[in-house]
Amino acid sequence: MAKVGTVILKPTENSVTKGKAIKVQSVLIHPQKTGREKKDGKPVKAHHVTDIDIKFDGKSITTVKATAALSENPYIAFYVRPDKTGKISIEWKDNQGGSFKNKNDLEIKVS
Amino acid sequence: METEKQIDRRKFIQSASLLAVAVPVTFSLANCKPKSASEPKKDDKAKAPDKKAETTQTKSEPEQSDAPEKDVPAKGDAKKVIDEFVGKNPVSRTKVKLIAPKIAENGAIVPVTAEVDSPMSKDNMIKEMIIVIDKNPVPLVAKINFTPESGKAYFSARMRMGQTTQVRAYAKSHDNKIFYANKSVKVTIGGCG
Repeated sequence: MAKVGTVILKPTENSVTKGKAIKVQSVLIHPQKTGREKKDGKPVKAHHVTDIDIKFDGKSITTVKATAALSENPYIAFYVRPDKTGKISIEWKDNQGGSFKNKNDLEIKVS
Repeated sequence: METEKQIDRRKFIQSASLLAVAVPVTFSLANCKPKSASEPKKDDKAKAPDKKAETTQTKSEPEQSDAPEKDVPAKGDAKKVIDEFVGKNPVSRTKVKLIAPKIAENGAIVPVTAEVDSPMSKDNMIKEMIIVIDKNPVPLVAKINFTPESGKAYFSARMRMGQTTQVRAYAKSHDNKIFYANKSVKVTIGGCG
């Protein structure tokens, strides 16, 4: 099991012709506790993702406000249509102040 | 709902087995026995209800798959969330394509995909989208903000569902038009802890 906070970011293609969108997938290793679960009679504290920020060359492209209704180890997929070659990154934030980024920004070549 | 469907299945299986028994019997009767006044009539009677059963089955299956989703009005918290997003803007049930399973065995991981047909140019784009699951304790799953660089108004995620209910996707265009789609998902094991 990967460590909590590990971010996986994977574009389906590394290069794209200008004007076309490519699909990108991302997974965060995270417990996603709803706050309704009980363990030994005590409620488990809510711990879930609240914000997802998808950036291209440092500029926000798509932002998501999420709730605990995303499943454990949340997986998301989205599209990106870059104008020029650049690096894609993703940042996940949770309600306990955690912030998780992908380690290596991935370059997408535009031709 | 489940028990009714199970009963339906039983009926279906029973009728199917009857059919399986009846058809060869009738054929064999027709083939082997010489023509007599009474027997073929009986056979016809036996055949007739089976045929009806067949036709009803073949009719009902395409209805389930092809029929557009019924628009079930939202209640309670889900309605509040939706009303807040929609406001007084016009709503149309077009452009949004919502993909979700009909039956989700595990409510903790239900794959849901929402896609809006839009060129995503600066003058014509989807700027926001929400995904709502009606009977969840927190109905709003995600609110997504798009920019033209997004390329496609598309979002896919694995979601939690507490019980059988409606999944809805509302998209707002740059000129505040609302596009909407819904789908009912049957959950066998809830996933809300």
